[in-house]
Amino acid sequence: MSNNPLVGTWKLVRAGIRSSEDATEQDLYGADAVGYLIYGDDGYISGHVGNVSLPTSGFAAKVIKAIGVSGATYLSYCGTYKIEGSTVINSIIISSHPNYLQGERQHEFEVRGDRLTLVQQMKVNEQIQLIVRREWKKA
Amino acid sequence: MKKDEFVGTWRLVDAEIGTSTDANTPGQSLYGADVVGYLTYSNDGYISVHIGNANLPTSGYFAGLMKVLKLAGSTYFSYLGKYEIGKDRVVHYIEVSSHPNYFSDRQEYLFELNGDRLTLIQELPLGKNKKVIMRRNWEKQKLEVSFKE
Repeated sequence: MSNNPLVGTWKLVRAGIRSSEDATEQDLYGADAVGYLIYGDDGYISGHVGNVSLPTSGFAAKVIKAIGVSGATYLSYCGTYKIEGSTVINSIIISSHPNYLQGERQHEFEVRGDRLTLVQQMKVNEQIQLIVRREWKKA
Repeated sequence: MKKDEFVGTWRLVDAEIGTSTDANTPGQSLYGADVVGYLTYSNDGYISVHIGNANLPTSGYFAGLMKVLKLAGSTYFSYLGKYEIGKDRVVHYIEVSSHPNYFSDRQEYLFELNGDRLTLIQELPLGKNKKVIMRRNWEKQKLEVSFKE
């Protein structure tokens, strides 16, 4: 679709996370994260985010330390997507993380020139949400 | 022109593995029955692949390999990078992967392209005169993006 603003390959510029109670974001993946997102005009999406080494900074490093995760921090998936207003909704078909196969994932998006921002909100409890903001640049 | 034929999303139909010395014998299934695979060639020069079994494979070459090597965990595999198409070969220059040993790696495939069918053939040297040959057959997918203003 020619007026689909998402079509193309996007490279991760930065990712931040904050709770709905906080105004300040912290880095999500650490310094050496590499991420790509491909939106095809055929309705498919493919995403890859990983660290070259285990992250030593950022929120992900703290999670890894806190829960004793070993191995890579790599996440990838492939699925289909649809756009409703300023929301893009992904239905994952295959993923490195089996829990990604359940349900749809919604992100608010904004495209400005060669920049794409995706914002994801995840409910922690009735009061608090985690807000993840990922910024991408056209590759 | 050939690039246009590659661009799009492809779904894995089947994959088999054999050797150069049994070229006349059908290979055995590579991933087993319940494998799911997607391959994307983007118009802007990127390639992305995802292959995995819904469950640990109980049939096919991988199931045997996992048993022999006592591998545990997922058989999922993916990578992303740039691609270059030659006369009869496509080269993938990998930037990020689920498998750390694929970071910054290069994978070369012979290809056969026929409409909505693509076969990628990978040859791995085995000893002096033998090659392991893997053939992965893909079918082009086409959806309409659901787009509500």
